[in-house]
Amino acid sequence: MLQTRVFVNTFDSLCPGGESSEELFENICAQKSGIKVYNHYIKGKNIAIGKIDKDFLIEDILYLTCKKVLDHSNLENFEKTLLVVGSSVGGMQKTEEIFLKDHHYKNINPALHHINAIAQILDQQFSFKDNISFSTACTSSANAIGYGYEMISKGIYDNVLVVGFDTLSQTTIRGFDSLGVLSSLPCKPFDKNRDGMNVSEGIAVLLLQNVYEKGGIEVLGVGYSSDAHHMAHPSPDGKGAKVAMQKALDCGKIETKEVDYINAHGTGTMANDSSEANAIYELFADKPYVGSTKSITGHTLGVAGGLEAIICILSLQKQIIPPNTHLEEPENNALNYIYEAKHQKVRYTLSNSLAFGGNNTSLLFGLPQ
Amino acid sequence: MKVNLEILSSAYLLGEKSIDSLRIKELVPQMMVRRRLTKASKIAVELLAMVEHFEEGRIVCGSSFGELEVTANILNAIKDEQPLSPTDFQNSVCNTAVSYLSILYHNHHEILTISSGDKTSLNVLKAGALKAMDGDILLLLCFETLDIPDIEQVNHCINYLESGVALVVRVTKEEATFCIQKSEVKGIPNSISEMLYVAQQAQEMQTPIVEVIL
Repeated sequence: MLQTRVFVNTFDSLCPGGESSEELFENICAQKSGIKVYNHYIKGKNIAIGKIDKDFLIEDILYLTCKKVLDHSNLENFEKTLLVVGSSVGGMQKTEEIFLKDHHYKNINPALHHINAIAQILDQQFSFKDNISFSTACTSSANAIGYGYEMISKGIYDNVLVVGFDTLSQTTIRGFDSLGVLSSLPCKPFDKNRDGMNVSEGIAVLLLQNVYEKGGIEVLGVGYSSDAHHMAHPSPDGKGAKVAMQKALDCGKIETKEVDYINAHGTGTMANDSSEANAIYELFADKPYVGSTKSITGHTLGVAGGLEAIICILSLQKQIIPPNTHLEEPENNALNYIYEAKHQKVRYTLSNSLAFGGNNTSLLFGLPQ
Repeated sequence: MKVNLEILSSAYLLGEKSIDSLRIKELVPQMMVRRRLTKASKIAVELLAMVEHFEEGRIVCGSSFGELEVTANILNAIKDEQPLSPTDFQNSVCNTAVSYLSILYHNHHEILTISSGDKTSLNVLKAGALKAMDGDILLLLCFETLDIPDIEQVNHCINYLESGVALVVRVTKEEATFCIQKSEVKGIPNSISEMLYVAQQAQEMQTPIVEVIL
């Protein structure tokens, strides 16, 4: 099948690591974290969390971020654009607020509870040709990008707007606490002494198009796999993540030695990081730079795939490899971790997203040739 | 673009309350695993056992409300200031049911979960058609599990509180024999409607081929 090329021409984001994608990338390179320690989310316990500083209405944050992307695009509106949303919790924050105040369900609007609430709000604000929402936990927006890529490469749509969005909720904070994986400090992905992750929130918006605009970065491939191992633990050997990365490279017809930087899922939990490090070690003999940016952004759950895709795209645009932060003693010394931002030639970057259920997605980006 | 999907096999389950005819002990003999399965996971296991022509491969699944029972357990635990069950939390994501399918049947292929409100099953068909253009056989699933205490506080129109549909599909160049419509069964969740219609039509036809407009 003849494939149409796919480019990310415009994007933006907002998360605790930065109020825009530009600011986020600067903060990552300056190793300035957006994670703070709070003591009121869980009684008697300090936990480090990524919380957007300003109070916001969900409707406003969705509108403003998508409007910025539209204004910087070559489109006048989104009327011929497919909206693809990726979210882990959707409207859960509102449902929680109402239920914990009322102690009953009567005032909950079911239409605003589910994942589709985000697409509904955006469709009212912008009018899209169609919309679809994916919810695969922490791979949600990576899968949304993969779907957008397939829609354009197979010639069905010219423009796809991908929106990753998740807000902090008691469900996710207390839920991850129940699994014993929350850190009391900003996380230290891949460090021997890491002790967990930082739940976070944010939005990432990317416009995928079948035409190249100046500065655009090409989406070259996507790879998917399932661990088929455990609901909450990745397979220790990293086999599922390795398959997803290999498939993304096969899809883009790129060899492992050509990849310059891998933005790892790197949550800072014991299980994820050792499994993912094994996967990268097994696949990449030529040791591309490896980093996790979650010590700056926190783990934005369903947004993470979109946010980290943007970091990979900015790495290509700026020709800078972004560094790890708080990595002092790597557990797996065989990988080529990056410790400081480095200017160098960057042609291909890979973004990994791994989720509950053993759902793995890897996205490959490259400079347009 | 129009994509024609041949329906190789189909199955559906409808229950006004919890579906109690599931053969879960027979299908999942390992007790420790069985105990962790959510209602939706049990429906998915049953549906997979009911369809033919799918051993392993890619799965596209959809649910508007996802794992409602464990979500309610979590909310009630927070309200009552009780510790959350880690099993409830890990089972609360929308991809729980299909992930258990992958674990139980060692299926390492791509799995996607869609949650598009009333359009969920229509979007599962569209996503399935997009993926099936690659030439493989896919399993499409959708489910709702709404039989939880006090659901009547928010549910005023759905009579079938538990439901699920499975379709095994592949792309064909043959002419379509029918188009997607909403099911005429009253009181089903809108989110399963189009897939239920396709399953019901498929069971009445010799060569069921549905036209999907992307």
